[in-house]
Amino acid sequence: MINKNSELARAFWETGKLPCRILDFHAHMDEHPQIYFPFSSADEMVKDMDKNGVEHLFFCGHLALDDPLYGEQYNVTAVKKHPDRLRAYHILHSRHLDAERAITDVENNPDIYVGFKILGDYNEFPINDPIHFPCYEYLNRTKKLLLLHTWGGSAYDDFGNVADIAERFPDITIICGHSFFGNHKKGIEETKKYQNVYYELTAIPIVRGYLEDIVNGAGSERVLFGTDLPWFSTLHGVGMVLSADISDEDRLNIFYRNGEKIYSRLGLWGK
Amino acid sequence: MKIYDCHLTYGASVNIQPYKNCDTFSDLLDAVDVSEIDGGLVRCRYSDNVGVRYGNGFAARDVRSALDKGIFMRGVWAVLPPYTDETPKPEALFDEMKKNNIGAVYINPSVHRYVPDMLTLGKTLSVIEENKIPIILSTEYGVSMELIYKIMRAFPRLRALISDTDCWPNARRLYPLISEYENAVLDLSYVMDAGGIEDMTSRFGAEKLLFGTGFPARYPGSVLAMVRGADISERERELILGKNLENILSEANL
Repeated sequence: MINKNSELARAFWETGKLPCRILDFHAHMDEHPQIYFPFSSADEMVKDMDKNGVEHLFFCGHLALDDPLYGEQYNVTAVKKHPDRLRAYHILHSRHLDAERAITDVENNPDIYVGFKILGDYNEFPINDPIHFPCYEYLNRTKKLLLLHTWGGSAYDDFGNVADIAERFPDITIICGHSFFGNHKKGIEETKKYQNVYYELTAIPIVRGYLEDIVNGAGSERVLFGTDLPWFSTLHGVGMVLSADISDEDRLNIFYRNGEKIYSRLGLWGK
Repeated sequence: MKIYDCHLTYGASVNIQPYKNCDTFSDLLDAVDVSEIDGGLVRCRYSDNVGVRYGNGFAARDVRSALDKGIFMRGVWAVLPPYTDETPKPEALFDEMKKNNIGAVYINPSVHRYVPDMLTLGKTLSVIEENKIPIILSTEYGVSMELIYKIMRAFPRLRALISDTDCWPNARRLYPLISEYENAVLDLSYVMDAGGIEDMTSRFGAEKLLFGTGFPARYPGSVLAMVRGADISERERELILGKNLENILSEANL
């Protein structure tokens, strides 16, 4: 039954669903050349959310991530089709950056976008390069979200790059996707003093012990649930949180309480 | 419903692999009890890290102690090419396994440093195939996907428990094997994609999927939650979580 020491785990095992909401702060959609997905369209993602009790999903689709010219429009289409369930991160392609246009897109479409996403490693471009600063100034002013792919040992998006952004732009809500995977302890140690930095769980389930480190290092109040859906099943992440050596209070913080606080900050869905 | 895990490991390590370990068999049993897993196949990592005979001996001894406590466990032995007489000769393998409560074997040509070829493995694999002995073929244990394909082409009736720990294990690598080889089954311990269990169940049947956690390297809850929450029938869930492994072991009379 996953974890006989957890009431949440017991409830999940009985019904196949968590007895609480789930807010997923890191997802994708649409096809990807490196993998077969059993499903990946916006409609299928929402169906999967219904099945697993995920209330809202924050995503940036693969087409936007990988096509710097034409991909962004598919994020818009998906949110327009499911405005009650989805919000998008506007991608910032560092090597094709039109900061003014990206800011205008986000500013003019508050019901589509919650902020920006950058993949420093994939772009092979430091996330704290000044080329991004106009976008960060906008996020700092509006308190919107910045989802970063963060990876231990990277020259582009490790803790030093994130700390630099957090120091310069203290009001951005920074979500460290993958929580500096592979160097998570040091990453948290070096960035937790910035109160608007959060740690997200994508990829973390594949190494037992990382989640406990993150919760012990940063406090569960700074951890957001994320899956990389459809790469990882939502339940794969849920199962990790249920079987980790943390408390049910920590689990509730991770599944939805911390996310709710961000909702109030941004006024999402009228909250 | 019984839950049997086809992918459990224990044994101390001198380095940081795995990140969080179960040093002793007793640690493993305690941890498995928290998840209410009823038993399964267990490998002692000493067969890779210390000595093949040493680790295989631990597996036999510890599994015996679990059986004495009424816990359904079968050990997993590493096998070596028969030319150095370090593990039982192919013709004696089945009897030795049965005597020692060993339910499956695995090969790790990378760590055990031999050339994985028909010359080195052919006789052993013939016996394994003939006796329906479950054999674990996993990229986690130094068997490349290319080698798994080669072995399955040469021994198409092999009762192979296949798993792939490539960065993004996916259908393009695994589905051909599960689809084309009747006795090949998939250990789910590194399956994590959304909808994967439902997709594979509908394509190949639940009989082709074995619940496995990869514990202690990976969280036991991840695959448990995926199977529990999968949109499949209760019969299919029961097969995946335990019945299939039971059937495979009883078919092999192990």
